[in-house]
Amino acid sequence: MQALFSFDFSIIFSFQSIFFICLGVVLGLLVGALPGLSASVGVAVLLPLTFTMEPLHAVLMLAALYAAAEYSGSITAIILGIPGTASAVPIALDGHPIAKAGHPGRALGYSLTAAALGGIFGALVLLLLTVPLARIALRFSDPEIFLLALLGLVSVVGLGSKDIPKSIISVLLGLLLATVGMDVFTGMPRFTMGTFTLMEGLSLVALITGLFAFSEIFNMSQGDLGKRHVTDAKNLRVHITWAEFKGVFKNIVRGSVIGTIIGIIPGLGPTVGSWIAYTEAKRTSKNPEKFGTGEPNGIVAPESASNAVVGGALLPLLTLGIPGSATVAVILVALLIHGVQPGPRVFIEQPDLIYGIIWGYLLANIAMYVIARFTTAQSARLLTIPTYALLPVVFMAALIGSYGARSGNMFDVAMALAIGCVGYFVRKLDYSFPAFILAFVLGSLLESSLRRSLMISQGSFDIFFTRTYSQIVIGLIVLVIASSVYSQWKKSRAAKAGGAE
Amino acid sequence: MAARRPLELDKMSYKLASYVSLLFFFAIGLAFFLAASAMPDGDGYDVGPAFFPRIMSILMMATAVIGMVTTWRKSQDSHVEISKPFQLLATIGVAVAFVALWTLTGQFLPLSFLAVAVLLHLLNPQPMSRGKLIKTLTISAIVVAVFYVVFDLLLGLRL
Repeated sequence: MQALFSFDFSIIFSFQSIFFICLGVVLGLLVGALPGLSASVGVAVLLPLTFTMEPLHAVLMLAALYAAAEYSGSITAIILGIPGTASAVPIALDGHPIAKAGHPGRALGYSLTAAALGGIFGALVLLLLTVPLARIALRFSDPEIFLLALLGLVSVVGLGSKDIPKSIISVLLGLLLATVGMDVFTGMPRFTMGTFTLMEGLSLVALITGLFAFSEIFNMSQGDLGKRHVTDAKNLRVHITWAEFKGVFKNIVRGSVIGTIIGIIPGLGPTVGSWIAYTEAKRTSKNPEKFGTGEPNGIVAPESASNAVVGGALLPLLTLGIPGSATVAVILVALLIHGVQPGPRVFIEQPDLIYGIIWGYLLANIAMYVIARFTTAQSARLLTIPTYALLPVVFMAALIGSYGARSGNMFDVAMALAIGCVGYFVRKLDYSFPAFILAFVLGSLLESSLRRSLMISQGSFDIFFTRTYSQIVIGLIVLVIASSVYSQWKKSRAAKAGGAE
Repeated sequence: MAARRPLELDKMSYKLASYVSLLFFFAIGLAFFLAASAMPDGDGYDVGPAFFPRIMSILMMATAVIGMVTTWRKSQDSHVEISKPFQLLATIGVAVAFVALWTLTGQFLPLSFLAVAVLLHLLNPQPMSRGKLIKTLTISAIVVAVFYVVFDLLLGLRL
């Protein structure tokens, strides 16, 4: 913990660090405000910008972009009543009525204040918990690492899926594709079809670009391509008074706590966080009937939760090397490209990098508040850009991203395109992209820890059940499965009751 | 005059599309299983390279079968719609042609200008006019130039 505070702050207060944080914030505000683009698409599309950067700057820019895009996704929700992202749906319920009543700046003020405080809360939790958690993680051996990776995958299937068999298939496909390439234990090529290109395995950047960027391009081609959302710049001054702030403070804190916890659990993400926070704010309100008609607490609770999710999701990434969401998996890629493997060892080997990310992320949230306060009106004007003009920009970024990740590999470009085509169709059938990406990212970790554990135990599976930490993780896995089974049972009971009526 | 029947491909039963996709993933599982069967199992307590992919492929085939059963048991069906099949096919077609030509010729800049211009032209719903053409060519030139300057000149990614 001492190292965290004796960190050389000149690293994050350098011109370059501040420049990349501000660039990330500005790009995030633009991406989030553009119709049809979400934080995950933005992070995937802008990943190629980080190829030549220092790892710290790369992660700070992407994390700042992620946080800012989560906030600016609410701009369309508030001004137009059209949520830019799924997590902004509850924000539209109360934000748009306030905007329609002639106070869009006030609604955006609630939204921005909650987003910044939620993000800062997530960053503080990251600051306080990473070192103790990393210390515990250092005691983990292969059986615990295997079980933790399994917990991540079970969570993403059990808690965040519409169709469980299809989510399991998404996970298994990710795990299978992760085995393509040279086997690290024996050096034997697996599923390479005799080509050298596949010896290194499939490119994660190509997979992410295909799933998030190319499939989004095909999806955007189905929308209203010429539509321009006309916005009124009147009353767009983002501001709330001290009295208004005091009236919503409790729900900002509540939303931040919920968001951080949801972020730590792999697979849930900002949408689940914002809905739980909204429901909780409504449940505990003295005037629940006001929700949906322009209640400020209905804006701040989901907004603070969806931004606190980012800090929460960075926690398992930095301490265990397990990303909490698909967007954080892209941030992991930015580190891997520079040869940095996150996990407890990195705190010993590269402390400046990890502490730099943590402090820098805190700074990014403050920068987001300052920059967004003065540029939200300009971001809102981006809504006038028609979709057909955005499409070629995303197309070019996707091409360059998949091409540049492994120094001009045309196979990766073709693969990204093929995956984008398949991804477009399977997305309509409720297969889970986050589950697939997390499984692909965790695949080699899962396999190597499983094989090493079995070698240590001479083939006995007892090794997974006899150690204290393993037993705790198994308990968590059982808990996640039980809660998933319970929620499925509740859903089917409700459906049957609805059918009977 | 009778109303025009929509293309069958643009509106497919969700259940049917699910069966097709599950069969596709079953086939992928089978392909991995067969390929893994040709790999060594490992000796003694050593776990070989076939161990993990074989288990995953068996689980994938089994889950695909379970998925088919759960899909069959669903009482309600819906439609998977492709509202603008022409735009979708045109976008995929331009992307595929661009990647194929780029691989063959290595000419990124002229091809990307062409691809962006064709995409803009096809997807812009405004009627054809000189103004639309000039706008298309201008936006294409700006997009390609910005990407070239940022990625090739500034970031050193040779395009």
